[in-house]
Formats: sequence, structure tokens, C-alpha cells
Amino acid sequence: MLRHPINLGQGAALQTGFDYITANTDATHVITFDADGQHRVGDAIEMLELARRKKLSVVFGSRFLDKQTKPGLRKKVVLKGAILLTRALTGLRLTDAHNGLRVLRVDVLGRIRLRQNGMSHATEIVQQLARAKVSWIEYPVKVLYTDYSKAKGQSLWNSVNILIDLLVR
Amino acid sequence: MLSQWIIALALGAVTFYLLKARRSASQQAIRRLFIIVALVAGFIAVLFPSYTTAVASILGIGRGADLVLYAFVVFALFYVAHQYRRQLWQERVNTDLARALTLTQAEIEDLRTDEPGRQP
Repeated sequence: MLRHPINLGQGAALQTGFDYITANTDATHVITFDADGQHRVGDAIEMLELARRKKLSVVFGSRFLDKQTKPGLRKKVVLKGAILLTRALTGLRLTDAHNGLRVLRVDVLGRIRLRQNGMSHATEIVQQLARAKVSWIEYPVKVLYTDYSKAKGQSLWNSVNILIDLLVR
Repeated sequence: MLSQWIIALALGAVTFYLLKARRSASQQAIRRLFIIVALVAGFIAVLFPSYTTAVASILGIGRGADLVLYAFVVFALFYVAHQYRRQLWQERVNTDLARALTLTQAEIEDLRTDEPGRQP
């Protein structure tokens, strides 16, 4: 377990993890996830198997590929806004822009350098992967809206913040 | 009016500074020269208040006080942009430092427990 001496945010944490994995292990793949209990381990394992089987560089989790996840109307609007923004900024036609569950093959870590410490990393990582033109696919996952993850939910204003984070840097 | 062009250009420069400018020696030098010029202009304006009105009328601004106000607004916006960029840079440095510390600690831990992530 790696731990930053001060809280820097999820983007910074992911980048530190990537650095550690690249330099100190012989792992083949990396799985990223939000630590608030909204993802299922089973989904992660299936995504990893898919990445191995199809020799894909990236597998993105998406809660909108099927009807498993039932977000409220408010949440839906917020997430659709984020999807449109991600498409505009990256050109990648993802169906779920802010899903923390991803499988990355270790060799693509060299193409990623997250500079957004906060939540804008979710858009930044797609941007950098799109630029690197890696092979990718989306995989349907279920997101569990626990009380904890609801309390940490995002608002539509975050799309504005992400846009400005990525413009001014 | 001439003043409108100048102010619009100045605001454009602030926007550019915020979005695109990179840290460089020339930039720092220009910033410092700018401050010196502003200070000198300030002294002159205090000693000869009528000059501000004279300059203002050349630029097409009614009163000298308005000229000073516009200059102040542009300067203040520039300062905000500069501080924002400085803050971003500072955050980046903090992150690099914390990351280096974390990775070093992890490597020490791996050595001590003889259990590195790398498998034989």
C-alpha cells in the first residue's frame, strides 16, 4: 500500500501508483477504481480477462452500456454532461466518462502523465490515451450507489471545473 | 477610440498569459520592467496630476482618474492570472515532492520486508 504524506487527490494517487508499478514490479496490467465501494471486484476481473483475451491496451468500465445501473435523473444529467465534455475534449466516444474502473496494460502507462491531481484526471487520462491511439473497448459494469458514494457525488458544476482545469495548466 | 484598442489588447494579453505562457527568463524580465515602469508612472502622476488628464485625452479617455482606474483594473487582472499560474506550479512541485517521498518509502519498505512487487 502506497500512501502520500499529504492528501493530493485521486489523480495524483493514480500517477504515483503507475510510477511504482512501472519501476518496481513486473505486473502486466493495472486496475484503477474508486475507493468508495461503488465498483464490483467481479467486474474488474472480467475486464482484466477481456483485456488479456483480446490483447487490448485499455478496457473502460461503463455503467451505460446496459441497464444494470439505475442512476437518478439528476445524476443522469450530470453524467451526460461529463460525457459530452469528454467527447468534445478527447474525441473518444465513450458512453461513461467518469467511471473509475479501468484496466490498463502496463505498456500504456508510459503514455500517461497525469498532471490533474483532482477529479479532472478522469478526463485527462482519456485525453492522453486518445492521443496515444491505443486500442480500447468499453465493458458494461454495475455501479453501486452506496450512501458513501452518494455523499461524495458530483455536480454539474464539476464539468465547468474540469473544462477550466484542462484549459489553464 | 485608441484607449479601447489598448485595453482590449491588454485583456487579450492577460488571457494569453493565463492560458499559454510558460515560465521563462524573458517573461520574468518583462514583468519586472513592467513594474518599474508602473512605479515611475505612478510617481509622475502623483507629482504632476495634470499629466494623467493630458495622457487620457490623447488616448480618448475623458479624465485622468479614469485612465488610472483602467490601468489599475488591467494590472489587477494580470496579477490574478499570475498568482493563479504560480499556484498551479506550486501544486505541481508539492505533488512531485510527495510522490518522490512515497516512492522512496515504498522501496525501503520493499527492501526491508524482502517482498518487492517484482517476482523472480
